[in-house]
Amino acid sequence: MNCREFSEIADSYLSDELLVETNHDLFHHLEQCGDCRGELNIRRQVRTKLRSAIINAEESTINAIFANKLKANLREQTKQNSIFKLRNLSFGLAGFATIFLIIFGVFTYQNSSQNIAIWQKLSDEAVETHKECALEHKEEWLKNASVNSVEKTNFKEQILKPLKVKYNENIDLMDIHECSFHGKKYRHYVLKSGEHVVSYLQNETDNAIPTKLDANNDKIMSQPREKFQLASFNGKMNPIFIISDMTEAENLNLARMIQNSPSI
Amino acid sequence: MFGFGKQENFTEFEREAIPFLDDVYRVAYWLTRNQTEAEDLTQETFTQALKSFHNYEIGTNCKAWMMTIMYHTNSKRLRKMNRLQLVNDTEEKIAETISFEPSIPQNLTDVDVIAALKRVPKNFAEVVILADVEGFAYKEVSQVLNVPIGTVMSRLHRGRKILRVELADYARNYGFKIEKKAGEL
Repeated sequence: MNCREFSEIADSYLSDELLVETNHDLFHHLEQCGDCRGELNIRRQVRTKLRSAIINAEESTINAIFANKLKANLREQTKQNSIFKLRNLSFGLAGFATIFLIIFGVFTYQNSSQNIAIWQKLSDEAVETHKECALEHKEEWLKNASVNSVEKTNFKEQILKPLKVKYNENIDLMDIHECSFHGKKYRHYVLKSGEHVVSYLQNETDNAIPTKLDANNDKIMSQPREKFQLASFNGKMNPIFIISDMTEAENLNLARMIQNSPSI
Repeated sequence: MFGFGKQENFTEFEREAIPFLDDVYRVAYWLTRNQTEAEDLTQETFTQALKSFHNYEIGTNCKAWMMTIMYHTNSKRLRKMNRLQLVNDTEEKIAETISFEPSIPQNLTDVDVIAALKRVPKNFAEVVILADVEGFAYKEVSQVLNVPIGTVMSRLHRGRKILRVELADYARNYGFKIEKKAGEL
């Protein structure tokens, strides 16, 4: 290494950027060259001088007021961002909840509408069964009233007896049989309340339909059908229909008593 | 970016980045050579750094990270103001024509050094400041300025040389004695 080569790399040596081999060459040259040792010393001093001059220069020293203000601004900015993000998150959640409620509402409404339509259809079929079975064969059922069976005895004991006490002494069971109407099976209990024939139809084809049956959340839907009153509700397993030509109050009351019976 | 741990995030930022406020401002000043612009640049740099702090890896060189953000921010500012300029040919040529290494006079004051540095073209002065004053390695300077390391070394070499010439001229003008080295022109 000669003096010119040393001069080219002297600053890189001071910056500790030389390879080990180059450093070794440089040391070797410095051992032999007093001028370059002096030159290296001067460059080191210049660098030290430059560093201290710039670091201590008043013009490039940050203003304390500005520095404090900046720190405060940054802290404030952090808080604002937090609030903004939290607000955005709240809006996001609120939006999500609204969309969810709308979708859920639409789904529930559609589902409920579908269920109501099913109930109406089943109710129509129940009224037809009442007309074509209970009323059409009324004389036959009257004859069967005196014929006892295990099922009739159980029904009288478990359901009719409490009804007689609480509701109507005149109510009686005429017949129990299975009806098939439009491909659906019903357990048909033909009752007699005074002069009125009452059909207690237990649908055995369709499962209970989960729906709010009336506006009062009564879980019994009561409605006039032709000249009959029809009350319907969900039994443990299947839909149940009470149809008669009694008043709406009497029919609904009977339905409620049956519904509240422990055996239903 | 910011989650519920916002305050903890700022505490980390305060611990890692705020200590370099003086350094960032100092380099910003030498970059802009204007106090107001340096304050604006420092503010923008720290605001941006706070926003991007989730990208910073704790334990790495935060000062270099801050400087990188500052130079990037400055480039954007200059582009907005149509003031972005590359090292022009004239400056390169001036640097190349300096073929000797003038000796440095003794007894220079801080004011003399600052005055000499101000006469060094900005593009050369900035690498000298980053490497020789702020203590960044050549590779770090290259990352901060987003230029190849060869460019950094070239600019440093020329920047140091210009500074020496300026210091020598300054001394000569003010009557310092300069001893020429053997072989100098």
